[in-house]
Amino acid sequence: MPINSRRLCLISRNGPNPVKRHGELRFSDTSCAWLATLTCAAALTVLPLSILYIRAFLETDAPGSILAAADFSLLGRTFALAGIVALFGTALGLLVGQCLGGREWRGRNTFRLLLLLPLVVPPYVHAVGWTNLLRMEGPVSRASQVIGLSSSLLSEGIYSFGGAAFVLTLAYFPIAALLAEKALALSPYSLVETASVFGANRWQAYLYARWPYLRSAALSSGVILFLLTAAELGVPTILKVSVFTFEVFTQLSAFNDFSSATMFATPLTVAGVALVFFERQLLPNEEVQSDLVEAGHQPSATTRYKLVSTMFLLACLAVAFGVPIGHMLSTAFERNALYEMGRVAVNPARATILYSVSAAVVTILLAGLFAATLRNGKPWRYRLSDSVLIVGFAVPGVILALGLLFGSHAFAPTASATVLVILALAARYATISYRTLVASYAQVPDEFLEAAKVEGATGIETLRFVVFPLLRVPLLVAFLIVFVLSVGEIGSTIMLYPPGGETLPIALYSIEANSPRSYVAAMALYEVLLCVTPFLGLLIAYGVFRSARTAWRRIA
Amino acid sequence: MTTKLLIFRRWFCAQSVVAAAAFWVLAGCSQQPSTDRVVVYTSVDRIFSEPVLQEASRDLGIEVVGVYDTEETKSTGLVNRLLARRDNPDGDIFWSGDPARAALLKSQGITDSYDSPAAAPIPTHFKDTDDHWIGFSARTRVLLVNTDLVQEAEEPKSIFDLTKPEWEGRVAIANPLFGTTSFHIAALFDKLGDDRAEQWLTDLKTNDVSIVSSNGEVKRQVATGQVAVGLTDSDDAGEAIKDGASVRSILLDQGGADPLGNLVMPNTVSLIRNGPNPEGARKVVDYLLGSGVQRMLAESCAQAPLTPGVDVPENVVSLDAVVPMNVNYSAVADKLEEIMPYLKEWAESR
Repeated sequence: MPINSRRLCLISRNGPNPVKRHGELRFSDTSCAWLATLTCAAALTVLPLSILYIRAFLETDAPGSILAAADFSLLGRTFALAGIVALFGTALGLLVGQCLGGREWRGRNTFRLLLLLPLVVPPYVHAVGWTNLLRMEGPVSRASQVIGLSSSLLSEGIYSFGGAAFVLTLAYFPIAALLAEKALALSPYSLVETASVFGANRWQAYLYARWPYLRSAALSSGVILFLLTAAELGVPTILKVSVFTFEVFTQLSAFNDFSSATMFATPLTVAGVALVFFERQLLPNEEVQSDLVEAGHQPSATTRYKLVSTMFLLACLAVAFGVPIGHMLSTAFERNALYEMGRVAVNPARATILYSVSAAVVTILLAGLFAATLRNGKPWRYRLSDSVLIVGFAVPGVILALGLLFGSHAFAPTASATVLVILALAARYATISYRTLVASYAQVPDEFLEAAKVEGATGIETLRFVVFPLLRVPLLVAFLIVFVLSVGEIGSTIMLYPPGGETLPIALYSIEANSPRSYVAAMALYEVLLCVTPFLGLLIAYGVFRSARTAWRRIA
Repeated sequence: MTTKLLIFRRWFCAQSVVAAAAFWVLAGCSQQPSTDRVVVYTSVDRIFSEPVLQEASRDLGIEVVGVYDTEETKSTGLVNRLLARRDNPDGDIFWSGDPARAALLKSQGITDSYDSPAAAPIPTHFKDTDDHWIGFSARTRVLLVNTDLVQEAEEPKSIFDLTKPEWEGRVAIANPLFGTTSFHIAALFDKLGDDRAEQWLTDLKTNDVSIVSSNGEVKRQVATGQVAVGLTDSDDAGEAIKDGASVRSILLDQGGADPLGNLVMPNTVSLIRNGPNPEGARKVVDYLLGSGVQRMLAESCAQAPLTPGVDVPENVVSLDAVVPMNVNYSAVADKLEEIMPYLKEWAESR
């Protein structure tokens, strides 16, 4: 199966919370190993923040008063932006998901893969692309002048609250689309037919047979989009829109005050954790979606359905990826920028790959440990582990990085900056691997493992021949998602990267101020390339491998 | 719980611990500081500072590595890195675009004194009294004017003109909490006194000044005609002119009986205390203070050399032709720290 929304479902949804299989909950005891794993996870996420908070309380007379001084109108503005992106991103995603998952039609798998393109491009690269495209002397402004519109309407409009919402919606809607597509694919079409038999019209049938499946996907996407937008700094900064994360940065930049910055990050962290908790309360018993859950059969699409879906999906892809990135490509050819920036980008690209691959491996190891120790474990352990890991995702990256820096001073003063960068990335994104792998491993049937035992397989053989084949896709997906997110990360890496070991996003940001536009576009393109190439390469390799295996089996 | 599952768990755990340990050791090995490498933290735009550091590498035979600032993250990655790493610094030199941050680092005990022989020709006014920082090339604060919107005869001549009714809603400045704008405002407080400076800021706010995110954004807004004039740095103005925008940069408060003068902001270089390579760092500091670097900066970003006798292109304004705002840079840095809460309040007020 190609990499698709199924994996993303696992990120957003509940995991084995508890896992319900064959109508019963099965638990076992692995307290020590789980506790050790939880301690490792807490050392990555909770400990650094605790150190920062202890510093804040020790260094400040009244930490509460610091928080009271924060500009909470900005918090409202941030949540408004996050709400709008969550709303429109989810709505657009549901429409796209309907096109992909509502019917069986040839070509939808290709679109499903193409939808990953806007998703793997970091949001601030989208912002750079759009500002390039809509700038005063750009093609869109020239075209608008031809038809008699003010050229400044769009070139200035992109630098606004609405512009930020637009860019973020386009950057994030594929998450909602892939979740919705998966939810629809799982919903049995026989329910729609049954509803029709009982006299329901088209919309009633949809409401009662399809919507219950879509609802959880919509809620999960809304939560993810809200969290991602609320924690975003890159896009609002590039588009000159003030948000609450800016308050945190103001405390750092203008006042060089780590304690206040820590306190100011509290509302975002609390809101993030609360939102995840709220999502869990609303979706307490949703089944885990993974490869091991069979998809519902969907009817074949009509020609009209295929045509409308294809046109709509092409339009979405063009707006979300093709046009801004294509224009960026054309800009990057000016002033020999691709070559010039290519030379500059070599070392940052190498460092970015090192950090991102290492972080993905670390998160998978951690998630693997959790998967092994939580299998059939008590539900509260799953929730506690999840909460510990979600902290790293919810807190602004720069705060996490500061915590790790002070933590390393206290406990491991000789730890290299490279290790700290990798640990910071792992702490940020461990929750993704965790949700993917723990959920998938929990669904490996005990019968398979017991059968291996009866056959006399050793532990390694069981892993090699039973567990690994079943978890191959989740492992690959966890690796790729953490890799791509790590490639785009800037908040935590900017505080920690070793001299000479800057990442591509840092290189991009450091030339953004006064460099020619073509240089910025070229550097952004190299980042896009770094995100997209391994993704597509692995997908193609996986497809080739599957085809070869199928062919070999036929021959054999 | 099956035996096989237990074996798997043990195997997985053991492998993970071994892998993590190996990873830590391997990654830790790369941390050894090299005596052939000097790390320079610089808040000067990368497009201008990187060629200088590359040239230093070639000329000195030492690997000179830059840690650059990013305007979009407002120095978060630079000064805070130095502050957070004060016990275990990974940098040797701090090259700042203005004296405020150098003074801040001095007050925090991050920098060391170094009386560089290369600093001898530089006027004392541009050097710290304790040799914690030394100025070299300088930028000026300028008023960038959109020539399509403002005729030469109408141009403001003083910062006080910006509060007059004819400029209502037509002026932009960068957020005064950050960068050189904060330093400019602190210099005004130091020079004018708190009351007059606060009154000027209040009048500016009353006149509906546009507060934008950065000097680069001021440049963009003036160049695109969103505002008529904006206070920015001479290198930003130079970039706009180089890009062919309809703009002109002018110096303010140059005439009259007792002119206030225009703020001149030198680059500064400081040695970081307990840096990994102090010997190499001294060589690089001497190199940066030399006339070769000042010539490079004059050519790339129109910065005026502070060492007398350095040849510069015609477009670079000589400091001899500027009536400077006479300020004590260390005092301005102290003032900046003092007025920060007021500036935050001012920037956020309606």
